[in-house]
Amino acid sequence: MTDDDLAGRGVSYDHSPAGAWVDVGLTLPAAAAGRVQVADLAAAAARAVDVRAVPGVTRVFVEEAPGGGDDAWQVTTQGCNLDAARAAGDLVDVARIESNHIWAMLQAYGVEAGRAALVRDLNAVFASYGKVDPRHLGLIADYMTHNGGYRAFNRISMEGAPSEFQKMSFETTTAVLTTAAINGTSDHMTSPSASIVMGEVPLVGTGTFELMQSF
Amino acid sequence: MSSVEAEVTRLYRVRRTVLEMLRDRGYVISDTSADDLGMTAAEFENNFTASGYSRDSLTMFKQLRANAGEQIYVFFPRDVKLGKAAVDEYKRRLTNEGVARAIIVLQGPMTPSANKAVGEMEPAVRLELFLENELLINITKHVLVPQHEVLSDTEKAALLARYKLKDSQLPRVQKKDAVARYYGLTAGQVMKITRPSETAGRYCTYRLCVG
Repeated sequence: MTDDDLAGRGVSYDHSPAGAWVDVGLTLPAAAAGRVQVADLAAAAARAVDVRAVPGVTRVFVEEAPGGGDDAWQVTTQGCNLDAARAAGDLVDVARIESNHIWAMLQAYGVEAGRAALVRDLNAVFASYGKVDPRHLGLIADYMTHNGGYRAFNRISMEGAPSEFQKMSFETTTAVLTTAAINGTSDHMTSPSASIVMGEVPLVGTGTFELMQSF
Repeated sequence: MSSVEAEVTRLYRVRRTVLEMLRDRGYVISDTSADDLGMTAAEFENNFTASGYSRDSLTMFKQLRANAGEQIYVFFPRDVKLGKAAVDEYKRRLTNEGVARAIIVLQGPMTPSANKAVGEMEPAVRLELFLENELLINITKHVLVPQHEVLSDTEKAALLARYKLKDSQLPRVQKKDAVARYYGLTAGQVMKITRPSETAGRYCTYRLCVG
């Protein structure tokens, strides 16, 4: 029989040129092996394949770091898993892992690191609009992390603020004004924003006292 | 890397972070001695292997530099899920030896009853819980973490007097905050934080521990 005849009957055949070994493969009908468990076969195949995944990280990029030198390479991921990054201490410089996931940074490294990450990200956003005084951004970050957590800086988190003018000066002026008028609320004019809205000297710094001159 | 090697490396890192944490809290820790921070990874592997991979061999007992009477234990329990019996055992040991503070380095979450037992011991005995995962690295070495310093009661009083403040007027830090736990802060203590500043070079602020 030729090799082709054998292949037609489900038999494969191979041998070394010098005849030192012969390899014969037989194909049998599945029924001959009894039941075939596909799940077992799949599990065995999966065990043989090396696959690793980091939960939360969907894509990874290895990039040239800005600046070059010893730090010529950096790993950027899409998705954030700080625990996994920290466990890779033999691969990356764990002291310089950063994320724009502020809450994750705050939980992993404390409120001050969360604040610093926030300032850095705010800076990155405002850098494209030209020079913004870092004091403004620092003040926002201080406000957001004042109570040790991470509080939103928007009109919803400001709803409970006692000064109506302060809320009006932030966003949705007419909405706040209407609500304040309907409810008949008043403003004690102690917040700096309220003073600025009304053209008064705010009660801060040298505005906290007055001088009386004796003639 | 085999799983045993990986485990030894992990424990070496955890042990180093614990020692650095105790040093930063003011306990007597040597930076060079092979018993403390001077121990190399290879020495650690030798010792740990010789002990039969026993976590009990990692137990530490240290005293405060300023007051040798204030001591702390660090326990590395064998159980992956620490139970109430083990916590009670630690409690007995601490009470017998008159030690008021201990750190337990957990491999995973504790049982609910063990958790309750820890809470019941305060304030006579303060047990701090850390997960091994949290101690793999020293968070205070991160570039975004500024310098923190815990104020003594007299320093706190001086600060409040100087700025004519009540402590509730200070910015806050939660007791469960990562850095607050690193320094083992209790509610009412104040941390001085020295941040780098673009405008002033350095900027000092303070946070009161709450919660």
